[in-house]
Amino acid sequence: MELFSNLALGLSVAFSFSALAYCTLGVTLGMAIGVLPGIGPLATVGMLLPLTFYAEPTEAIIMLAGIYYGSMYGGSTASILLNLPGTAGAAVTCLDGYPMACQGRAGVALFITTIASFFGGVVGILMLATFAPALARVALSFGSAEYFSLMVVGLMAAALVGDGSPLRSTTSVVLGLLIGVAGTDVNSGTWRFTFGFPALSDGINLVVITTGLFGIAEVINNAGRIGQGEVRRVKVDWRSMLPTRDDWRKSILPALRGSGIGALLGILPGTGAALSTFVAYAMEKKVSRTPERFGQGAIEGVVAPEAANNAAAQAAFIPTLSLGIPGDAIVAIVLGALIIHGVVPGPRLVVDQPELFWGLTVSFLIGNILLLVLNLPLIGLWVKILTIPYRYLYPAILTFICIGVYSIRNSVVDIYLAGFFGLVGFLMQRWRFSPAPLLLGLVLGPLMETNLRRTLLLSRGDPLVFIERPVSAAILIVGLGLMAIVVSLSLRKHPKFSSAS
Amino acid sequence: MTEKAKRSVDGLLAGATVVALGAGAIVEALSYDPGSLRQIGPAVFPAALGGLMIVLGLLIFIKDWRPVERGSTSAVSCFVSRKSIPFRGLIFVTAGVVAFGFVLEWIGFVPAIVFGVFLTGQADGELSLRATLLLAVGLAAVCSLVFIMFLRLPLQVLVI
Repeated sequence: MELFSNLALGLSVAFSFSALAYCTLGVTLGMAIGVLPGIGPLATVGMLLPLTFYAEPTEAIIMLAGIYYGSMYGGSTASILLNLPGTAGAAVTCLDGYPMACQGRAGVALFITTIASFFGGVVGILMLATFAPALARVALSFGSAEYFSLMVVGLMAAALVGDGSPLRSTTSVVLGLLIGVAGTDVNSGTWRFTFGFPALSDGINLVVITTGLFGIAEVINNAGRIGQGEVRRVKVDWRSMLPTRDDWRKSILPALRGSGIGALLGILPGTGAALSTFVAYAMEKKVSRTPERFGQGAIEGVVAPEAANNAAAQAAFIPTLSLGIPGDAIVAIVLGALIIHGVVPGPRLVVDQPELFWGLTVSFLIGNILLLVLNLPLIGLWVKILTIPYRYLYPAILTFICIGVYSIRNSVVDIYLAGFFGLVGFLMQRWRFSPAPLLLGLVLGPLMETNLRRTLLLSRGDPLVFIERPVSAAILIVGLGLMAIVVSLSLRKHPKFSSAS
Repeated sequence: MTEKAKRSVDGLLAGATVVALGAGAIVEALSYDPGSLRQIGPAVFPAALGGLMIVLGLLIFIKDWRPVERGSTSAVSCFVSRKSIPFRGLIFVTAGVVAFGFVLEWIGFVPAIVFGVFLTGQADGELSLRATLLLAVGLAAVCSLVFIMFLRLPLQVLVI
């Protein structure tokens, strides 16, 4: 059986000492920053990317991915205890998690969200193991024209289906593509958008942009504004945490539905975990026979979104590893890390480097089990982390960002650039541009231009090739259909997920 | 704030900025080699993106020209409530980051952390002098240990 030999390969990679160490480090860190409001997984992944330059690519990705899905577990803790989401993906969990805590059922809420997170995570991993190799096999026949079309449609999906205005998100994507142009053109050697500064001739590093747009911008917005919240006292003994039989019974179907929604939205490029939680919550409220319980501490209202965001976080790796199209902004950074390590993203990755793909898949499973085991016994520690005031944390965050950015190539110019992108990120949020799609454009930009050039060279300058090749045409038609749907919806002033508010 | 429909100044400014960025990209791209259709030069891709930016910027401008009713909020804005401009954060966080870079090159790693913490700490009005000092010393010690002793990054504690 091919699957078993693949799994054996994955196990041998994921159970090596260093892989286990990176996995543990990643998920623990992810859990901690997930718990803390004011610092998100995007900034953390960007900040720690330079540290992975010296590691093996597989181990680097294991750690970065661990931060991502670990933060999905941690995010709900602050939502339940503080009514303040630890990450964007846990905002919905406040709606019913905090009321549960007010009713003295914080322990139950924390317990059931951990179980739901694990369930969603495992569903996402199973989808990854099943669909990614199959999708990669299909994509092996793709030429540069198909790739270009796929990237266009992937970016369109990222802009149109994400949270926020489609028009503004599209602008974010195009801005990201433009920033990706900066640096030396590989074909002609021309310096583009460097404005004469040699420091820009290598382009602007992904780490600089991520830590600026997300890390520094987050601190600008939050410093002096996140006070020390009133943390709900939780009894951390097992008796008060165990859900009743009625709780279990009510949670099974929402967990299944949430995982399904999360996995489906996770596969779509650019639609992150946050969106899946809104949809999952709205769905539960709709199918419930007692929708009035929602917002009053309904257990379904915490189970479904938590299962959804974890399933989405894992499923986001499906298009990333099989096609080279990132499933959301954080995975775009992971893809960027792969490129930095010299791994060419695309369908050949699963075929040529099975140890990377299967090692990663098995490590996801290990990471989820670790989180399940670590989360509940250590709940006292997480609650303690939650009581650290933000005013002591953010100077440390900024210091780590500066050191991380400087360490890329020992250049202080990169620190100034990160500061500049902090202001850009602040302005973008102020003007309601979601900065996450920018990262997708940034990572895919150079690949898009290369494929465009290659296609036109092969077709002897005939731009019609994109609609003459059947697969490429089909991909573009899907994109056009998506655009038609979104435009018609926004013209009808569709109240987007208003039931979630 | 009146409850009446209001034209969003931010929106118009945003639209205008996007148009300006697009125009800037095109102007800059025109100085590169356009190549031929068969072998496109470095100018084509950025120029096309610049054109797209101009179109998007105009659409944003047109859309935000229409006054919006207050209270019609999207899924995101329910959770990200609009607050006043955080001047303290803007000034001190940016100044702290720039100072870190400047002092790092000028005097060294430890002074950079101390300067950085003292400036960024001002972004939160309630951080006392004693706490700032403790934070700066603690961070300098931890970072020296982790980044210089353990990870061996080429950072100099003191340049002189």
